[in-house]
Order: sequence, then structure tokens, then C-alpha cells
Amino acid sequence: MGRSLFSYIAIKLLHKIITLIFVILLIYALLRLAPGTPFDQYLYQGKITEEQYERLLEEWGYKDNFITGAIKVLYGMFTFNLFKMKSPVYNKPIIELISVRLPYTLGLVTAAYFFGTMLGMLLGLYCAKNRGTLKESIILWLVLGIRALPVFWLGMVLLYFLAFKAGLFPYLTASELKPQNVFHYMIDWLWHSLLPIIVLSKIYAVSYLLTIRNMTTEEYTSDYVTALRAFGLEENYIVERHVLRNIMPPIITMMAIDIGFLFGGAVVTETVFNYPGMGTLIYEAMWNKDYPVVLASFYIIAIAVIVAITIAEITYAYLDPRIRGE
Amino acid sequence: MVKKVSKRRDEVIKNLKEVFRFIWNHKMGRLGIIILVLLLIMALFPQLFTKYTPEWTSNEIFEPASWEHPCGLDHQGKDIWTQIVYGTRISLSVGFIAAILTILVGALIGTIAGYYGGVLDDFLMFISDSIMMLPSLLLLLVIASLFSSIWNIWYTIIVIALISWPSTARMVRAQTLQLKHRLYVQAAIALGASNRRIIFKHILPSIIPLLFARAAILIAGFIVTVASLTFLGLGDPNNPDWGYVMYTANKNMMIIVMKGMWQWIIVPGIMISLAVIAFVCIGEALEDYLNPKLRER
Repeated sequence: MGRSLFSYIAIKLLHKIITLIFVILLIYALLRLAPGTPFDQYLYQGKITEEQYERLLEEWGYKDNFITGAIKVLYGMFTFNLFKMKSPVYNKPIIELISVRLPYTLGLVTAAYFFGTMLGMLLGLYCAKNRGTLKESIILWLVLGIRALPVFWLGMVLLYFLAFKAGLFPYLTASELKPQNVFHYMIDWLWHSLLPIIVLSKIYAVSYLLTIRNMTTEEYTSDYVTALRAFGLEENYIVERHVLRNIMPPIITMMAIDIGFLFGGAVVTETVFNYPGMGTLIYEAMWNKDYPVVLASFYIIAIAVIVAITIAEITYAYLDPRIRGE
Repeated sequence: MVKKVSKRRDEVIKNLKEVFRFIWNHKMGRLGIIILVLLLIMALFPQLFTKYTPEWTSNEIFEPASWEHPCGLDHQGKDIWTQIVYGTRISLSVGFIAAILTILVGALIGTIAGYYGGVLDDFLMFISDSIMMLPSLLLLLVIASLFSSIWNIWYTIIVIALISWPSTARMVRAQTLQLKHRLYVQAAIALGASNRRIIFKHILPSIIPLLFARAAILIAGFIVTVASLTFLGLGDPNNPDWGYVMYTANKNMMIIVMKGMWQWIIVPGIMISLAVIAFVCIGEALEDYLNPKLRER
């Protein structure tokens, strides 16, 4: 059994590495196809001559042929040289840019994810327990309304009413933080990040609520729960020992997949709030045609997704030996 | 022959009526239809809702809301409510066309992968896994901004379809695998029917109803996706949609705060939410119609 689990993981990992290479090369191809370079604006503004422009292109590798560039990227992926490269816009190594921005996004995303999924799960279980009652339908209609609100709109509304009009929250960027001690820093961070956290966690709260509710309701109406009830077991015992255990594996997968997609939602949220995380970094890099930064950021995101999905698959295979046989 | 065609048409109309009646009697479905009809009226006859045109400009800029201008005037002296009304057509049609394209690509790839199996299936599913692995909004954002100098609404639609097909393809593939082993399909194969005939005559017709439910949900998602994209400044100023109105609002946030023009922010968001609610409701109702097991609950 040990060996089959091991070979299952090995095959999955190989598959993931091929996917990673494919994804990064796809992004690289897109970048190469796109018109424009970061130096165009200097040329238009007359800050540099045609000759200097050509030399900059040469220097930053914008004139490499496609295959050479792709090989460089592949080499950079495996030796992590991708992060040591310099950004032509900031003229700094990418690792420096990312190491400043990544903690902000990770903090934001982790808090939003934790808050959102917990709220969603609790409300989902509550709905399933009270299925068919007025309480449940009130929650469900509310969810229907909240689900439809665009993230950026929610952000702007909160910013307008709570930050600008009521003055409860700062509307300056979180990079204004001046830490005095750890505790003060935490409070300050939370104060600056609470609105983005609320906005971002909305997506997770809603989707987890609906999924948990549907799955739990399905379990509740199945024969084995009816049988357990007939034996006179307590409702809470049934939920904890049987229902939750049965719905956990798919939930774990769902959670893992979502982790990667948090970055996508973070771009919009960070832009609305002018939050100094990876989202705004990628957004600026794209406008500036700062290809090394875009490539390195996507590499980080792709690795995060792959690690999350792999962990989910291993957990799943461990919990449910049937799928290993596939 | 003619009789056969007309008989078939009658049958389709009868089915459509039945589906429509089911949605109308469904609590969420009815809400969805009512909102959708209102939005469609706004998209088709914008003149009924505003006396200005999107091109109309005033000498006043940033004028707060009044009875004359329900949402005020923007930085160019344009009437904001008029832009929202005329944006309905663009937002709805972009979502609609993108969903149709996504479904077509997804259904095609899904049936091919499921029906032929083997290496082709592995290859197509590998591509689909790889695309699914990236946050689609981020990918769309990268593509749109890299090509921003030549970008327009049609590129948005095509790129959305190109990166959103995998989930539909997975669903269709699973259905195709099931259908392939049904007796009537096996019988058709045994009788020597061509692959194309089997796919188009026997497999696709059973999947199409499912695709309708899927389309409704996809449209709801795409309306928000496109609005997010235009909100981030990657819109087509020649075809301003709801997201574009919010983009200009976000650009002028300070003046909005000073003049208290909250309608500029609130109203376009409400329009987006209404559209999303309409399609989500209709999608749920269609799914309940297709899945009788859920109906009993």
C-alpha cells in the first residue's frame, strides 16, 4: 500500500512539473507576442536616442530570438534565476520587489480566506440544519443578493462610506505603516487591511456556504443518516462523526484549488484599495511591460497553486484509497 | 418531409413552453425572468429611459445628481445615467456572446475528448488542466494589458472564451463518457454509423439542455469579469459598459467625495448585481428543471 501511494504521488508530481513548464512558456510566448517595450516611453519623451534605445533592448534581452529566450526562462525556472533577474523599470532585482510586496498579499489573502471560509462553513451547516425554515430562506436570499455584488464595487462603496464619509478607516495605502512594536504593528495592519479583507472574504463566504449547505443537505436526506436517527443517536453526534467526515474530502480539494485563485481576486481588491501587494505589483508591471516581473510573479502564483493542489491530492488519496487505483 | 419538420418544430415549441412554465412557477426563476425582461427592454430601447444620448455633453462638469440628471454629470460633462442605460446593451451582449463561444468551444473539446479517448483525450485534458491552474482573471488581465494598444471588446470576448472553456469541457466529457456506454449509442456504433453522426445525432442532443443551464451561470460570471476588466482600465472607451462608468468614478473618487456624488458609484454596481441575479436565478431554475431529484426537495 505504501508503494502505491508513493507511485501515485510521483506520477502526479511529474504531471505538475510538466504543467508548470507549459504554463510559464505560455506566458512567455504571450509576453513576446505583445507589442511595446518598457523603454518606448523614454524614446517618445526624447530622453534617450534611437541608438541608446536599441542598446537597451539588446541589454535587457528584448532582442533575443524566441528559442534562446525560452531556454533562458526555463533555465531561470529551475535555478531560480528568474527572481535574481533585474526589472528594467525599477532597475532592481525582482526578488527585492517581490519580498516587499508578497507579505502584504499573503497576510491579506490568508486573513480573508480564513475569515471567509469559516463564516461560510458555519452558515452552511446552520442552513442545512434548519432546512426548509424561514431562517434558511432569509439567509439564502441574502446570499443571492450578496453573491451578485462585484468585488470592486463593494470595495468602492465601503471606501466611500466608511473611509471617506465616516472616517472610520484610513484610505491611505498600507505602506504608510510605521511599526513601533509588534503589537502596534498588528493593530495598524488590521486597521489598514480590514476593508480589503472584508471585500475579499465575501467570495469565499458565499461559495462555501452554498457548497456546504448542498452537500450537507444531501447527506442529511440519505438513507444512512435516517438509519442512524432511527437508532436514536443524537443529531450533533451524527453531524460530527458521520456527515462532516463524509463531506470533508471534496471540501479539502475545493479549499486547495481556491488558494491559487485568491491571487486573481486580490488584484482587483488591491487596485481598489491601492494596497501595496503582489496584485498591484503585477498590475503596474503589466502596464509598464515589465516582463521579468510579470513572469516571476506568475511563476510564484503557479507554484502556489501546484503545491496547494498536490497537497490536496495527497490528502485525498490518503483519506480515500479508492481513487489511487485510477 | 415538410410534415416531419413542422411536427418536430411543434415539439420543440411545446418543450420550450414547458420549460418556460416551469421557470415561471419556480420562485427564483420568476424573479430572474422579470429582471431580465426589464434589462432587455433597457438594452433594446434605451431612449425610453433617458432623453439624452451618450454623446451629449454639457458645459458643466461634476454636477451632482438632480431630477434632470439622476446620477449627475461626469468629468466630460456627460450624463452618467445615460451612459449606464446605453451600457446595458454592451454589458449584456458581451456576457452573452462570450458564454455562447465558451460553450461551443467547451462542448466541442469535451465531446471529442470523451468520445475518442486515448492520447487525444489525455492531451486535451492536459491543456485544460494547465489553463484551469491559472487564475483566469489574472490571465485575462495580462493579455488585455499587454495588447492594450490594439485592444477592443471583441478581443475580450475571444480571450474569455479561450480561457474559460475547460470547466465546460470537463462537464461535457463526463457526460459523453456516460452516454458512450448507453445501449442506443452502442447499437448505433454496431450498425456502422459514422463518428460524426453519433456525436451530432446521439450524444450532443442529450447534452444541450445541460449546456443551457451552464450558459446562464456563465453569462452571470462573465458580466462581472468584463466589468472588472473595464474597471481596471482595460475597457473599450468606444463601447463603454457598466464597468467603464465605475472606472471613471474610481478615477475621480476625490471629487465624488467632495461633491457627495454617491450615485455615480452606487447605480452602475446595482445594474451589474441585477443582471447577475437574473442569470443566476434562471440558471438555478433550469438546473432544477433538468435534475428532478433536486426538485423533490
